[in-house]
Amino acid sequence: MSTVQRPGGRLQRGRLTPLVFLARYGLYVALLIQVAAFAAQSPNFLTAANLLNILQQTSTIGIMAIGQTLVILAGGIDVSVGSTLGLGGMIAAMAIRSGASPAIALIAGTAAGFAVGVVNGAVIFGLGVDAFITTLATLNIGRGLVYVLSNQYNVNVPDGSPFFALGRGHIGPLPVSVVIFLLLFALAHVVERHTAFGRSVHAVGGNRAAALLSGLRIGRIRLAAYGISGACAALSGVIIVSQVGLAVPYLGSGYELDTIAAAVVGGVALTGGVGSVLVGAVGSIFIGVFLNGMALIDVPSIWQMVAQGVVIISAVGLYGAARARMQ
Amino acid sequence: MIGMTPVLEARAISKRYGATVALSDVSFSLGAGEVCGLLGENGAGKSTLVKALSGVVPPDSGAMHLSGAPYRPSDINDAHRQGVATAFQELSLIPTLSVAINLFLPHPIVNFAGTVAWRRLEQDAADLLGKYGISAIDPLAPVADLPLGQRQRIEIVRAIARRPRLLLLDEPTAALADREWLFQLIARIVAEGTSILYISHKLDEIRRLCSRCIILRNGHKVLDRAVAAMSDEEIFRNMAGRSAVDRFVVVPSSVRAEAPPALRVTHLVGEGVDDISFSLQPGEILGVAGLEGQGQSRLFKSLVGLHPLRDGQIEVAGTPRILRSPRAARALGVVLVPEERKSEGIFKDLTTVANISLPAIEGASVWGLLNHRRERTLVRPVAAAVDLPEQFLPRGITALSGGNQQKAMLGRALIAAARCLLLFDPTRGVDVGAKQSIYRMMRDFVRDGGAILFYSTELDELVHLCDRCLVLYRNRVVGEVPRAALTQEQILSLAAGHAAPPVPAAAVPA
Repeated sequence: MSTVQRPGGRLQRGRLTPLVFLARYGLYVALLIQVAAFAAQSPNFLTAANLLNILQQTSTIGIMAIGQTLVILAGGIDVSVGSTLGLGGMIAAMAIRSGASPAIALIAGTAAGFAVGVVNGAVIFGLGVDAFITTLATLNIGRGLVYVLSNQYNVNVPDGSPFFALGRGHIGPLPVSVVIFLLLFALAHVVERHTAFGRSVHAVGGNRAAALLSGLRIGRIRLAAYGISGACAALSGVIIVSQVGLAVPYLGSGYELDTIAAAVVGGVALTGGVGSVLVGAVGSIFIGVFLNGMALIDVPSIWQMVAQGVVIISAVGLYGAARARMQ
Repeated sequence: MIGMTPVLEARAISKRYGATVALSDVSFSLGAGEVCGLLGENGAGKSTLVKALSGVVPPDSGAMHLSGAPYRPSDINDAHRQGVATAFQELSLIPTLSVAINLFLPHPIVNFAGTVAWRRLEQDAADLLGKYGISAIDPLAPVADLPLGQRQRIEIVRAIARRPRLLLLDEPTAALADREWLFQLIARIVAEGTSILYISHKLDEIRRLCSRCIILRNGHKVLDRAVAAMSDEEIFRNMAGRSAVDRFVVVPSSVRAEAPPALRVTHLVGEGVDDISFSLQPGEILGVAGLEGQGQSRLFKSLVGLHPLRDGQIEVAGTPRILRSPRAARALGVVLVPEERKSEGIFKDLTTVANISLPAIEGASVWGLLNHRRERTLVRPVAAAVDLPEQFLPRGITALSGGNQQKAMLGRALIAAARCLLLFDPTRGVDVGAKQSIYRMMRDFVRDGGAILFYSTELDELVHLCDRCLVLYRNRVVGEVPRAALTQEQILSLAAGHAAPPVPAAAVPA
């Protein structure tokens, strides 16, 4: 499993030069080194409680990263997910306030995100507007809608609401949000690797002209990817609201960049067609471990941001060099 | 010029791209004030030679000298500094910028503050345009707003304005309606001592302008002689070559004349497609010949809906159809295999088997999940049909040679039950073995009742594989040559815009 595994077959043969090795397994090696380093620095890092904590912190970004990865694989980008998250969370909170059941709130919030994604896809492929511009615009529109809906007030979930089971409940030792993340990841992985749709996503993102000539329905495939991304983002929003018991109007601001960072650190190429849901998810865990560890060893948060940027550039530079070598 | 140092001396220039040899040991020299023609078929190496001389790509080996001094341009600006300027066939202007700015790229006239001196720039541009007889062009107009012919003039004027010692003109009249303008300009600068390498397909231009001409074929220089000493036939024959004939096996034609045509188009009109009609029978290989840029690419793409058509009718298997997209065309069995394998063909991040199976992938799913064994079962027969060894199937497609990649592309075309293949130069950049496989696959395909529309830049392929051949010139069909009369000379002559030479009586079918 790696960034150079090609859909439709086994690992590509070829010499395993150090650079190729790093591109293929560097993410996992770096993750292990990171864990070892933080464990050496802080006794609190390598504890079951903290590891679960990391997973829980990562799960919401991870769920978004799954959708974002699919969009990027299909040759697009979705920068609207931050406000889609806010919209989904706000709608769920308002649904609970108005007496809806937790299931209805969850579905309403997630469906709203799906709708945003479908609008993104329709504008991009119906009107031919650039993907970055379109989703930048819906990022603003979505955030505006959250403020309109909430009248700029926080909306809190009443104490004792069964809705809290989603964000605060556990299944066995695992928080519900982690279970959702892992299930969604498994589902998305199977869809990406083992269905005609997943294969088509890779084809459309890898070579649009060839996909068109092969008779693929490019618009439909990308539209579906955006729909999934929107739904994933909104679901994350619902989970966060259920965790904190409060929907704030600015919920999710800036998260879009975190999801893109997770995907590229994993080795998903912004040019499309290269990478997998797996590496996108591992990329988000990598960043989750990084942020948690930095906090535990008392690195000031301002320096954490700098360090995170350096990690992204190093990773992407490495993948780029290795791919250039392998072509 | 004997005894004088030549302006340009090229010795043993070679260049290869991957496995393709573009130039092999090409040597020649050019005297001061000489206009030398450079001729050759598409893919003969003309463009590569221009790129090497103009500093776009360095040659792999060989040496160049300008007026005796070593000439090794690091890039195109370095070539300008050393006195070599080029007017490229695929114009090097920036469409969104004005004529004036384009004329002075990459160094616009600046004032003392380092910003562009707009008024002076505009004035100097107007002066240049006036000096070279195209003052009708507004120097402030964005290049994109000008018709192609005027853009070509600007490209040429810009190269001349650099006052080069050596001027390279690559198909300079491709878009020019009024060639006299260029011919007079050439006379003027030659009188000032500039040397010119003149690349053209058009024999009348070569005869008029050049004292000498060089012919390239398959990357080799095959001829370098005074133009006056050669007949047209001699030149055509040298361009086409005669070596490859024995590679082809003669098989009886499999045309099914009684069946409704597999593909019939009548009066197709669109951008770059000018009133084209033809009919393609099942079992037939219908050739399409033409020099670069005569509308062949547009025609092929229009047939699968990639370019809009304004008028005309398409019939598939006897039924009028509208082919709006490659998907719609595929559903009717009409499949295009495009020329650009890299940009329009392969998915470089997928395996070979996934590259081939893509159009039929729905058929490889069970309960929504891809069944990899079923996928292999679908791919295996088409891989066999194109001689693609099975051990290549699980590999990433970029690990394959160009020839095997091309076989995979043909396999992808076959997998979706194609009845009518549109093959656009399928053997470009492909080794000899793969070519044989492709020829065999084409023959098998038509023998089983399929139909092929086949464009090739290699004339010997057209001559030996086709049942008939259409010749395109300026977006129109200017000739249709039956198999019995099909020769390379015949095609070249029609393709260059000459009327068809009389067919020898013996070759006309009764």
